[in-house]
Parts: sequence; C-alpha cells; structure tokens
Amino acid sequence: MTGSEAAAADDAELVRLALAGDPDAFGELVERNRRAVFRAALAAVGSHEEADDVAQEAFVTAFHKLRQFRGDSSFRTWLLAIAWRKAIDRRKRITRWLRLVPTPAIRDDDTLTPVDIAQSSDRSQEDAAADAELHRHVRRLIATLPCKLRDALLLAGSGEYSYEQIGGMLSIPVGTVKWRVSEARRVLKRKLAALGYAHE
Amino acid sequence: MSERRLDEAIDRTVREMMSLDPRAGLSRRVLAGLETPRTGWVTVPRRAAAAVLIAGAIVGGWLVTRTPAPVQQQVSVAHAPVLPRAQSEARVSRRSAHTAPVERYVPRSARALRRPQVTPENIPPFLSNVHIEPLASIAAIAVEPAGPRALESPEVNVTPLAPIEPVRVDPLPSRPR
Repeated sequence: MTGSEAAAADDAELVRLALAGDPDAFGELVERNRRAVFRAALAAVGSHEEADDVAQEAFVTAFHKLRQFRGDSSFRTWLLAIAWRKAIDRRKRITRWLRLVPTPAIRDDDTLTPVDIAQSSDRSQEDAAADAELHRHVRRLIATLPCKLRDALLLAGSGEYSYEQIGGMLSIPVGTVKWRVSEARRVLKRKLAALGYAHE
Repeated sequence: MSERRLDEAIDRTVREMMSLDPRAGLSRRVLAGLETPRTGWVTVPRRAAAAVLIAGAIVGGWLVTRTPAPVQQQVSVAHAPVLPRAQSEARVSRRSAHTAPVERYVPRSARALRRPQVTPENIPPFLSNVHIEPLASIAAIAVEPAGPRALESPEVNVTPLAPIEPVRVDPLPSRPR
C-alpha cells in the first residue's frame, strides 16, 4: 500500500492491512492518532518527555494487541484506552508529578513575556500583567487538583476528545466526566477567590 | 473579577498546557520499536524460570556437598546403650565418616523418622565388626490402680437474710404557684 492509499483508507481498513503485515498501514494509524495519544499521556504524566515515551509505548502495545481489537468501538477509542492505561502506570511510577506539571514548554515565568504584554494593543499593560499573574496562579492550582478532577479537566479542555472518548479512557460514564470537569472548575474558582480573585 | 473572566483564564491555561505536540518522528520510532524484540510480560516468566533454576542449582549443590556428619553420629550414639564393647568398636571416627558414602540430605523433620534401626543387615560394611546381642526382656511394671477417694468439702452454713422492711415514700409538699 502506498502512502496516498493509506491516507485514503479508513481506520478499519488500515487495521486489517496492518494485521496482514503491512507496516505502512500501521504507520498511517500512528500518524493519524499520534497527537491524541500524546496529549492523553501528557494530561496524565504532565511531562513532554514522559508523554512522548508513553505514546510510543502505547503504539507498540497496540500493534501487538491488534488482533484483540474487535471493532466494538472506534480504533481511536480503543487506542486511547491503551494509552491512558500506560500513562497511568507511568504516573504511578513517577513521584515527581507535581514538580513536572510546569512542563518545559510552559515555564512559570514566561506565560506572557514583557514583549507580549507590550504588544497587546487592545488592553493596557496593567491588565496584561494581571492576566499573566492569574494565568500563573491557575496553572499552579490545576497542579494541586485531585487526579480525578485534573485528568477530566485537562482532557476535556484540550479539545482533542469527545466526552464519550474521555469516559472510555477513564472508564466512567459521560455524566461523571461532565461532573468532574464542572467540579474541577468550581474548585479552581474557589481557590482563586481565596487568592483575591473573587468573582462578582 | 467576573466569573466569565475566571472561566476564560482556566480555559486558556488548560489549552496552553495541552497544546504540545509529540516530538518529530514518532511514527518512525514506533515502527522501529515494532522490529525490536519485545520485552514485555512474555519474557517475565522466562526470566523468573531462569532465576528459579539458578537458585535451585545453587541450593542443590550446597546440599549435595554438605557433610552428613550428624546422621553418621546418630548411628554410633544409637549403639551406645546397647553394649559397651559395641560402643568402642562401633564408634565412627571422623575420618571414616568422611570416607563413607555420601548420604543425601534429609530434612530435620524427616530425619527423626529415618533414625536407623540397627540390625545386622543394615550395618554398613565398615562397621562389620559390631556384635549385637539381643536385649534382655523388659519386666512388666505393676502399677496399683488408684482407689476411689472421697471428696472433702468444707461445710457451708447459710444464714437467712433479714426481712426487708417496706420502703415508705412521703409525698412532696405541693409548691405554691
């Protein structure tokens, strides 16, 4: 199968071809789902490097378990469930999660650089600095959320997954996913209020 | 600060935290990983089996090379009360114990059961000069049966309690309102 043929095939067809021993087919499946798998791992482990490692491991595991894929759900949902289990296993092994939450790409001090603030034309510099401060507090408070609430909030907030997919990953009903997201926001706002960001 | 602004701040922060992408070449690395031998749970039983085999070999080697001196000594001790002559002749020297055929290790619990019954047939060749005479018959011990003994208990005198007088309760004086 050529690259263009692989790109045109649907996931079920690619799975069938991969089972028949076509490496390009599985490569296309990886390409299609790499971001979703990586971000699920990122939500769980909080570190870019760890998430990358988990994503790779999840794809390899998925390949070896491909015969177990029955097609009851979409390939993506099945793959995300594998990735999430891998990520949770990894998270259990690493104890430095809270220190890793500010990932290298999201440093504490550069959410908005002075240049960004100066370039913001529609707001005053004072407002931009206040926003940057709030942003920093929110990120720190997200790290202090209980895992169940944080996972749901990050997965839902990424915009990468439907509530059904999140429910499949976390093995909980969609209603519980929505409640956890809402509860996470409520807890965050309560903590922000305690820091002086009281909402009117 | 309005609630809407707090919601926006939360949304923006979460979006930024989750907006990272995997390193380039993930597909290539995955496909390369598929070709390398898998080191998953399948290999764990093999490793465990290998570890058990090695441990078994070490323990087995130690047990085989272990000197069974205590078992040999039991033979000589078993002879001691039988005959003074046999005791002097049957005592197994440390040197002869070492030259004796090596016995398999017997656990402590099983060792008591295997304590040798010394008969002319099972005495090893190097103890062939042991002379065993039959033991004298043991006289029966006569024990007199214990006779019935009367139980002695001190006499208990019970005196009747004094009759209880009826309790009289006087009504409380009514309190004026």
